[in-house]
Amino acid sequence: MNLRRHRAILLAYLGMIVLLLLTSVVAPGFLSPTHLRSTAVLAAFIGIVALGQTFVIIGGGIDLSVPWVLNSAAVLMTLLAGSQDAPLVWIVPLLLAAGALVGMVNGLGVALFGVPPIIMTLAVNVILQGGILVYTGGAPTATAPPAIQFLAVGRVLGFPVVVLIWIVLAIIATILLSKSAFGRYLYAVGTSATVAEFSGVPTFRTTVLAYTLSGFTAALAGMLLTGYTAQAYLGMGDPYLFTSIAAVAIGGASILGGSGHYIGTIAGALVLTILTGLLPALNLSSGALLIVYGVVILVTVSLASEAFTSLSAFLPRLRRRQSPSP
Amino acid sequence: MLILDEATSALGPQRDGVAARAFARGWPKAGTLVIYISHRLGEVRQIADRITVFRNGATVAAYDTQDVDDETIIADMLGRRMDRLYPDRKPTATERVAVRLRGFGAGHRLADIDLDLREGEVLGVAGMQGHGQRELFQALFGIGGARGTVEIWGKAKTIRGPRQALTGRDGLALVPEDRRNHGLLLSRSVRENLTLSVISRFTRVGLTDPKREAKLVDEMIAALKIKAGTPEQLAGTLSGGNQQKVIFGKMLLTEARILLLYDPTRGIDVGTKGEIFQLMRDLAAKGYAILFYSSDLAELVHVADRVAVLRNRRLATILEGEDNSERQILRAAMIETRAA
Repeated sequence: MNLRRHRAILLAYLGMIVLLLLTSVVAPGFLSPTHLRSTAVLAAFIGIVALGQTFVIIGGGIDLSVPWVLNSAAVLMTLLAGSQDAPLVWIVPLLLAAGALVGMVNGLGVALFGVPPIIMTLAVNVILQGGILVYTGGAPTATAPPAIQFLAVGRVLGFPVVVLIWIVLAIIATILLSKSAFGRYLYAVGTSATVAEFSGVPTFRTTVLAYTLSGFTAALAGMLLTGYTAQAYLGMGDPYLFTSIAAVAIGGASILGGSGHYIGTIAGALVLTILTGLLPALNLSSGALLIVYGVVILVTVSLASEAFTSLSAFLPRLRRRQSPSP
Repeated sequence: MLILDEATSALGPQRDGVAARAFARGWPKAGTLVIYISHRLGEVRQIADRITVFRNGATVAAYDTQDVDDETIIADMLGRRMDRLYPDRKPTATERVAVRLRGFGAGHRLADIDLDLREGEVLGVAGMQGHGQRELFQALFGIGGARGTVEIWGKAKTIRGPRQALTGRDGLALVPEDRRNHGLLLSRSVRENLTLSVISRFTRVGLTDPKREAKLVDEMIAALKIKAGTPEQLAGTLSGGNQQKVIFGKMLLTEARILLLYDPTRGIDVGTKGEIFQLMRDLAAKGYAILFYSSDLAELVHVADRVAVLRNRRLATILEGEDNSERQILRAAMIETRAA
């Protein structure tokens, strides 16, 4: 593995460490176990949503439907479970499958009908939002069942359960991206769908699978987040649209696809969470936080597109040199 | 002053003469100086007062139109050149037919092709740009629809897409025209490019085996003498010739024994060209069947066993032996009156 290819990921971790040190200076106590633990828990929610988003973005797409896939899973779980643990046995698998199914619909729209990913997933997001509003009538829902609350805020051997879940998912995602045929196909499709197609890559299956995964992780995050907030509420998924994409971008993936890794996204999720914790310490409002978020993603993505511009300026030069006109 | 550069080349064959008719009707206005660039000899004859022939970026001849015949112009276009670029060509074709096309066609750009490509044969394909050769190669590879019947190694086969075309002992592999946009993942490594079509060969329960992959990659890099620092070097940083070798390697790792080479030497250095020609003959000797289009006629003449000439989306003729010459190819490709 050469260093240059992973520079973006290393930079993300470097940025995270600098940010941590900076925070410990302005807000002593930030590095306390308690605070670090809560930072990891909050980062886990972003990280889980951003897992599917990472796969979709590497594959050359984007998933804007995560907010309401997440929100729908949260609302439906509390409604169906009625604060009881027992029904979760069927509700959790059902909602995970439903989330995956929504993702598959996204993937089919993109891969089968050629709908641009932004349009397809945005439409699905709005449809889900409308559906949930109609279904609930905007009324508050029941509290989350105790088992779900345990997953989100409980601890095993001192580790928050949700963070342990995140670690397991991160290992699976890393194996998929680095070791599996699916991962290889995904990078190929994201780099050039045409070259992938010409090379016999199953582009259709690969694309659909990436979106399916994203629907799955969004639904999972929705249920876990409900355990954390103890209740599902309308709009709870909205922050995750931005943070899931930003985590991927900060983590070093090209927003145009074909590069990046979930290992980078983990750093991206942590950076965003630390930023969120830092600003109140500086007595900045949540409005200021949004501004900082926006600037961070703008800087990250423009750095990435600068790299792209220099590459695309470089290629025609090569072309001129190597192919004399016929 | 009006410059028309291949202004009619994108028009279908049924629009032949559209330029001549326009000029006959008095367009453009009298007094306009027109520079008319075309590969359609007949058209140039009808329109131009004087004809200038370029070759390799230099003027080689200029005539008044009524003073010159087609043969002279073709000779000027060819020039004379001798080199040892080309390997010995021993006929290795067998009687076994690898690809049999009957009434094969695609869209509006290719029709009524009857063609047999045999085991051990390099079958050249020639034609002026846009006369159906691209469609022939793409349709055989499952890109865009196709009409007519295709038999591969004696069995009827419908090729629905590249993935299916590449699969199995009866597969077909393509070296595409556009190396950068169709052939290679420029920002991925040589290794990943080489094995992209054969990931299943070193995958078990969905997971790749790096050792088995490395073995395939190392063997292919050695066999084709691909000059890369390491297999992890990005494909986009290789020279054009080595990029093309990576595409060949990707193709040769598949089980396909029918190779579709679309202008494989375009824009690459002379040394690598020679290696590619030698490779083609070696593969033919091993029983591969090779369909070979080149925009450089000399390559077809010197490397292919036979040359199928396309004109106006149809098969104009098949040239072999003494007839397989640049002059005959150009005549067949350009002169409309020469019937198939």
